[in-house]
Amino acid sequence: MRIAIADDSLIIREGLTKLLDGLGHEVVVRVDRPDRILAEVAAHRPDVVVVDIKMPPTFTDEGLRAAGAIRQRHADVGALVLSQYVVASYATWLLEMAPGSIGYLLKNRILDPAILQDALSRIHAGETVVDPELVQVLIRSRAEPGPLTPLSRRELDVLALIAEGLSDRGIAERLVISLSTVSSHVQHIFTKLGIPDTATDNRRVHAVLRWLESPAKLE
Amino acid sequence: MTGMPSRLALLGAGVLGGSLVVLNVWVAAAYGGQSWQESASEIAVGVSFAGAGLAAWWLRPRSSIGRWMVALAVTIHVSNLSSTRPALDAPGRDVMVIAGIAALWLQYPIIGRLILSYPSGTLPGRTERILFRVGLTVALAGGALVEVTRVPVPLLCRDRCAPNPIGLIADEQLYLGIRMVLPAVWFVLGGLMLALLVRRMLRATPWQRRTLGFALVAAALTDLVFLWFLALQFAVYYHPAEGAPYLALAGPINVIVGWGGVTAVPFAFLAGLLRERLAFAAVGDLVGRLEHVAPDTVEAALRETLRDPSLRVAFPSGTSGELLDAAGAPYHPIAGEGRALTTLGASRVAVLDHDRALLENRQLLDAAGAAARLALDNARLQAQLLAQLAEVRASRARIVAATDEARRRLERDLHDGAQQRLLEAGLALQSLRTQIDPDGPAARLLAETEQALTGALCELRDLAAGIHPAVLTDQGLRPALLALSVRSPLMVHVDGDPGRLSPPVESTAYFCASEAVTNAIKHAHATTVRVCLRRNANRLLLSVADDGIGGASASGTGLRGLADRVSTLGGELTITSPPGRGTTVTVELPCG
Repeated sequence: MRIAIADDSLIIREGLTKLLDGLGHEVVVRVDRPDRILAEVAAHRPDVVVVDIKMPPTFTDEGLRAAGAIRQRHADVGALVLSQYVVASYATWLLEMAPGSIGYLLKNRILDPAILQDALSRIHAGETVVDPELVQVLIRSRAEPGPLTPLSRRELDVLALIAEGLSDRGIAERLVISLSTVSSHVQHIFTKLGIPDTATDNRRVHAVLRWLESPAKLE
Repeated sequence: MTGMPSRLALLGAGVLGGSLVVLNVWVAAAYGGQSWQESASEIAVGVSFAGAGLAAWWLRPRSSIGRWMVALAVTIHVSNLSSTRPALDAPGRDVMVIAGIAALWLQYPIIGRLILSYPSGTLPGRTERILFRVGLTVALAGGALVEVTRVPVPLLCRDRCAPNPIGLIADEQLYLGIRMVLPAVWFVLGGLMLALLVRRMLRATPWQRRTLGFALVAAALTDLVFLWFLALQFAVYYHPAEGAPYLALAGPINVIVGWGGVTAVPFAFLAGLLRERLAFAAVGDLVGRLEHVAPDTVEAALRETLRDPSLRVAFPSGTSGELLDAAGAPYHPIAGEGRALTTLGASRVAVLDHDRALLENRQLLDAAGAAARLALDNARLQAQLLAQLAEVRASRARIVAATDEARRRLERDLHDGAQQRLLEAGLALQSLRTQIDPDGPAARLLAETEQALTGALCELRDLAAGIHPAVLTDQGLRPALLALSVRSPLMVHVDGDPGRLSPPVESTAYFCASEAVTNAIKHAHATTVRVCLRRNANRLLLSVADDGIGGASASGTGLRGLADRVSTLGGELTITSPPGRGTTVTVELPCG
C-alpha cells in the first residue's frame, strides 16, 4: 500500500515510516504541515493518508479538515485521522464528509502494529474504522442496558462493532458467530432503536454513531 | 454687581424710595391734575416695585433683580411727578416735568431687562444684551428728543398748559410725531423680547421652563400695555378732534392697566421669591424624613425637594478621583449645556448632577445638601462598599480565569511535550523489533517495555485530562463529560447537551461534575452516577446524582472550593445528601 504521512513531529514521521515499511507498505509522502498535503496527494496518489488531527498553525483540527478535503477531492484515497483523545463529533463530521475509506483512531494505536495494519487495510477496502474507545464512550453514555435502551448484552456488543465500522462478516468473525445470527441481531437492533436500516455498511456506521451521540431524553 | 448686600446701600435705596413716595403723595394731593384713583394706582405700582425690589435685594443679593426693580421704582416715582400734571404754581414744577418725562421712557428698557433676565438677574445671551442696549438708547435719545420738541398741546395738557423751558425745537407736528413713533418702537422691541423669551423657553430644561412661564406672561402683559399706549397716541395724532373721548377713557384704563398689569409684575416677582422660601420649607420637611430614609431613596427625596426630576447623586470613589453612582458603578456626569455639577460638603460627601438652572438657587442647593448629609454619607459609604465588592468579584473572576488558563497551558505542555515524546519512544521501540530475534529474551523485554510505555501514555492522558481536558476547550461540556465517563470506574451517564458556553462556565461546570464523580467513587460507594445538563434561557443547570450512601456535607469535600468558584460566576451550588438515599450536587450558573 502507498501511504502518505502528515505529522508535525519529525520523529513520529520517521518512526511511522519505519513501522509501515516493516508492515510492507511504501511511504510516498511525508509532510509536516496540513496545507501542503493536498498538493502532495494530488502529485503522488497514495492509497491512504495518515494524518494527525492537531497540526500547525492553530493545533486544533487542521488535520481533520485536511482529511475531509482529501476524501472529497480524491475518492480513491483513504484517510486515517489520528487524535490524542477521541471526540464523537469529529468522527461523525468525517463520516458526513465522506462515508467510507475513513478511519478515526487514538494516536497511541500506532504503537500497536496489528491494529494499525487492520485499520489501513479496512480503509483501503472502502470501510469505515472508528476507535473502540470512542464507541465505548458513546455506548456507556447512551446505550447501557437499563431503562434507556431495550438492548440485550449481546445486541450491545453487536451495536458497538457496527459503530466501530465492521461489516456483518467482520462482526461474525470477531464474535465467532454465524453471519445469519449477526444479520438477525442487526435487524433487532435497528428495529428496537428506531434507526432506519440503511443500504451500505458505511452509512450504517454513521446512523448508529449519530444515534449514540444524540443526547438521551430523560423521561 | 456681586457680593453681600451692603446694608448702607439697602438703607439708602429704602430712604430714597420712601422720600419719592412722600414727594409723590404730596404733589398728587396738593397740586395733582388727575383723579385720585389714577394717582393712587401710579404710586402703588412704584411702591410695589420698590417693596418687591428691596425684598429681592435682601434675599438674593447675588442677583441684580432686586437692584433693577428698585431702579424701576425710582423711575416710576420720578415719572409720576410729571404724569400727575402738577398745577402751574407747584414749586419746582419745570424740574418735576422735565425729570418725569425723561424717567418715563427709562422705565421700558428696565422692565424689559427685568423680564429677560428673570430669574437669575443676568441677561442670558448676546441677543438679549443687544436688545437691552437698543432699548436704553431709544429711551435716552427718544426722551431727549421729546424734551426739546415738546410744546403744550391743549388736548394733552388741557387746563395746565405751560411753555417748555427747554423747548429748543418746539414744533407741534414733530412733537406729536415723535410721541407716536416711540410707542410703536416700544411695541416692536416688546415683540422682539417676547420672541426671545419663546426661543429661550423652547431651549430650556423642564425646570427652567416652569420659571420662565411667568416671565412670558409678564412680557405679554407689558406688550399689551405698549399696544394700549400706541392706540392712544394714534387717536391723539390722527383725530385730535375726536381724540378727547379716548383720552377721557385713558384715565380709567390707565388705572386698570396700572393695577392689573404692571402691579402684577412685582407681585409675581415676589411670589417667585416666596416660592423659594417655600422650597426652603420643603428642605426642612426633608430633614425630618431623611432620619428614616434609606440611603437609596436620598436621590428621589432630593429630586422632589429641588424640583429637578433629572437630578442624579454621585459619590467620590474614595480610592481614585472617579465618581460612583449609588450602586457603586462608575458614574459619568450627564453631558450638556443645561447641566451642572455641585459638590456637597468640604470633604466631597457627594456630587449632585443637576439642571444648571438650580445654580440660581445655590442657597437652596446647599441647604438641601446639608440637610441630606447624613443619608448622603451613608449612601456614599454604601456606594464605595459596593464598588469595592464589585472589584473583589472582578478580581476573583480574574484569578479563576488565570487558573484556568494556567491549567490549559499545562495540559497543552503535557500533550505537546511528554505525550509526544512517549509516542516517539514507542515508535523507536517498534523499529527496534525488526532488528532483534523475535523469540529471544530481548523481544520479551521489548514487549514489556512497550506495555509500560502504553500504560504511561494512558496515565499521562488521564492526568492531562484531569488538569484541564482539551476536549472541553475544543468540543465543549458534553464531549468532555463523555470522555470523563470513560475514564471513570463507575457507570456514568451523561444526559443533555447545553451546546457551547463561555470558557469559565464550561470549566466551572466540568470541574464541579468531575469533583462530584470523584466523591461518588471515593466516599459514596456508588455504582451509578447520572450527570444531567440542561440550559434554561440563560442559565446552565448541572446535576450530578449518585446512588451511594449519602450523608455528604459541603464542607468536607473538594466541593467547598468549587462552591466559591460557582459564586464567582454568580451561580449557586447545592448539595442534597440524605443518608442512605444518594447524593445530588446541583449547580446553577448564569451563562448569558
